[in-house]
Amino acid sequence: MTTHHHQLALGNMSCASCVKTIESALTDVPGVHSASVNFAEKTATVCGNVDINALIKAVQDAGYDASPFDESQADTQEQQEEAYIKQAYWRTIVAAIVGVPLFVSGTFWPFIPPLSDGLGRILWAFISLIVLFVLWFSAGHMYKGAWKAFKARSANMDTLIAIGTGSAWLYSLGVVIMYYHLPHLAQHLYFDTAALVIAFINFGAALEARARGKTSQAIRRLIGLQAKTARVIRNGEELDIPIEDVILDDHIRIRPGDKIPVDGTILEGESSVDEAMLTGEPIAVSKRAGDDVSAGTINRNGSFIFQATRVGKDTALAHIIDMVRQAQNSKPSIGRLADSISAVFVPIVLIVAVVTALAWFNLGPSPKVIYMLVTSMTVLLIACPCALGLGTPMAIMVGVGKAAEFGILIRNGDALQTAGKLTAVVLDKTGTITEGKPSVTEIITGRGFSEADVLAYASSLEALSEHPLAAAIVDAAKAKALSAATVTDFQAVTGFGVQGTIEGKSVLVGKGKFLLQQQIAIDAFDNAVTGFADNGQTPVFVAVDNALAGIIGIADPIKPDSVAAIRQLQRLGISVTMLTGDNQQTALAVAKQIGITNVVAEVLPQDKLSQIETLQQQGETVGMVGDGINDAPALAKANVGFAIGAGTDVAIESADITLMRDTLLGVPDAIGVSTATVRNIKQNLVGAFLYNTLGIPIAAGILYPLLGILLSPIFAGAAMALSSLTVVTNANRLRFFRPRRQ
Amino acid sequence: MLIAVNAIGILLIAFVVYWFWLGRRSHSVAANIDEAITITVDGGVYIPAEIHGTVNQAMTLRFYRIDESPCAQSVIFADLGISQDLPLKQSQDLKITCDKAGVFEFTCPMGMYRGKLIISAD
Repeated sequence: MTTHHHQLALGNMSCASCVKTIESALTDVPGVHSASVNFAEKTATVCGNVDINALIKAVQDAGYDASPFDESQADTQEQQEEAYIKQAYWRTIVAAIVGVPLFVSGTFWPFIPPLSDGLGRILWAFISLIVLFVLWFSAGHMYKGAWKAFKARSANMDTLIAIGTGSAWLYSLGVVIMYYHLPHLAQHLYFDTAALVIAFINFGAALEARARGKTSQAIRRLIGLQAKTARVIRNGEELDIPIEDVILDDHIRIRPGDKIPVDGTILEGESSVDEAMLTGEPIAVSKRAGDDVSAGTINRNGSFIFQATRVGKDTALAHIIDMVRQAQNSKPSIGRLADSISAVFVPIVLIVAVVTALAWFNLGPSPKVIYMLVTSMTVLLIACPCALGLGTPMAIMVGVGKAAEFGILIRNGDALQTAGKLTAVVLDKTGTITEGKPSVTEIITGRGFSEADVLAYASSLEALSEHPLAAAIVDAAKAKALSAATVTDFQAVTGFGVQGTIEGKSVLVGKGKFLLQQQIAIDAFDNAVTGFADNGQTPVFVAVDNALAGIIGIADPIKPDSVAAIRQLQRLGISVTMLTGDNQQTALAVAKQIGITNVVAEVLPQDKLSQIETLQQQGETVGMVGDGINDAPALAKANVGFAIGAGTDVAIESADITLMRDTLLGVPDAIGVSTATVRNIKQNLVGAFLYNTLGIPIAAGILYPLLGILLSPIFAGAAMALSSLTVVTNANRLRFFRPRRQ
Repeated sequence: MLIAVNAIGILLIAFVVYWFWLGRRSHSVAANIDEAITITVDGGVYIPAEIHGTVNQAMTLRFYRIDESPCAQSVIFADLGISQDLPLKQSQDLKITCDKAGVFEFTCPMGMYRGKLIISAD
């Protein structure tokens, strides 16, 4: 039985006890598995096999209002972020309005009467309340967070800020109350420090949130590709419906300029479709009946009707969004050290703050209490685990998103990190370096046979074969409008060729060895065979009634930018190896054309894996580039497996990195993104480590005995806010990454 | 005075060590087959922060984020290869079935919010 989740908007709730009443009313409805009411949001989430109207009635019977929750009312993430940023700015303004005049009065221009003045004490008592208001308004969320974390035996940034600013306010209040009982040097007030630190931290949080928003631009752009409606044809009628309502096999009309709403296959019509957003391919692709189209791509000028083959979360776009999101949130091993440090960081800082206070108490000058307070407060405020924690995820977020913009889907952080360390790349020839669509390039005929005769005999037999080269011969025959003859006694000899009888004649098509086995001489064509091999063509021999009728040369064209991509890899110092099932001579000819010297020919699919292992045993960090299906074991064994030209296929699941565009240039591009991202992470981590390892001792007053330097807590608060902002801003620089083209 | 202040300092350090590292976390919940476990993300922590389950037990963790901080926008189970965005003030279910025993941490992307999924063999 299907289980549904229903969300209800609730009304007429006055207190938290209503929660229990409504939950009981809902769980009493037959079919309900669970119900939970959120008092703050005034919503209920109900799980079970039940009609929503029964739920609404149950709530109404209990004395409350209920209606179906409209998801469009929920704020989008952008709106939530905007609200957060706006709130942080308000908190900053309020804290600054109070903190700046107090700081100016205490440091430069004492316009507020001193505590020694009778009016001054009343005024400062009032100021202490104003600052308390600032702590509540601008830092209440931090105090609340610190308390919740404390109760959960956890400590975070809020803990440090709350203790730092809270102790500043409490000490100052103590000075106001016990002014005449304290030594003169201990009569300093820190209300300005508390308020200004809060202002700086909120300002930093607002800028950081703004910068963070930019780091997730790529995923938002992908999400934005999704169409909202689709024009479906049902019962001969055209309807515009939300894409959530499109079902499998729906027929959908696409007009010029329309965004394609779901994946499908064109039934009628033709057009060109812009797939740049998915593959990075700038040129629109022609589509006609039988071709596949993908959700999120944009139709240019034609119009067509297609049948939905994948909808909802099954579309390639949905998979891509999911994969990018997962990868953006994954951590490469380089970030794990920072993670383990940030897990224990705050308690360690708390201990350092106490040790600092004790050191000043035991070894410091008078007034000891002031030095204890200032130094330990500065230690708490300067420490920034955020900078450590943010360094890796922010860079990964931007790096993975940037790669997606170029049609490079990176599965996780480790793949991203390792891609930049590759020392060897193994390329599968067919479909990777070449188009993967062999075609007939040349036909040489024997005496008494025309090209058409040779092609007709060969194609009649090959039409019954499943060999990859057979399709090339059949296609060539079709292109010349040659019809297939009837074949009897057909037999396929695996690894050699095919044979059969056509119009009473015995016909053999296959390798030279196949003909030799049947005592058919082929030496007359030796020169032609050598010529084929030198050009990278595979020869297919055709014999009719035990006489050689001709040779068909078949070649798989090299992709236009394979040579440029291989050169780029070689310039990066990466050794490039080509694997192919072709014979040595043909393989060497192709390798020569593309500038590769490491060639392993006549490799069976199962041997590809051992080739990767051999390279790894030699100490190489190996990348394997293949089509993602036949090469699956080798892709998995390689340090980084690249599936190329998987396009919009679900084959994106099979590799560490999927190149959506059918070009090898994606490999150096992915390596480029990886190198830039890892460099960025290192900058962030080194910066954050240095900041904390230098900042905390200086804040503790390590320079004081030698240079007399003691940091102000206000400066510490500003530095802390700035440090995490610097990390996020540095990560954002990756947004300007462009692949190198030479 | 000297002894008192130093003693207070040492006690404070001992308290920090005990409270944050040695003591047992108070919020822990055992997973039930039929019910989702609601984990509230609020004030920089996951409540409860410790979930107990068994190998091959299908669990539904229902995250409810009140915390507006951008840090809390997603939860990551690094060892399980799971990451999930957490919309603000909306329930987000995450179905997990662990096929091995162990302690699997879940954190925010920065690793500041921390929780544990403790899976036992039976």
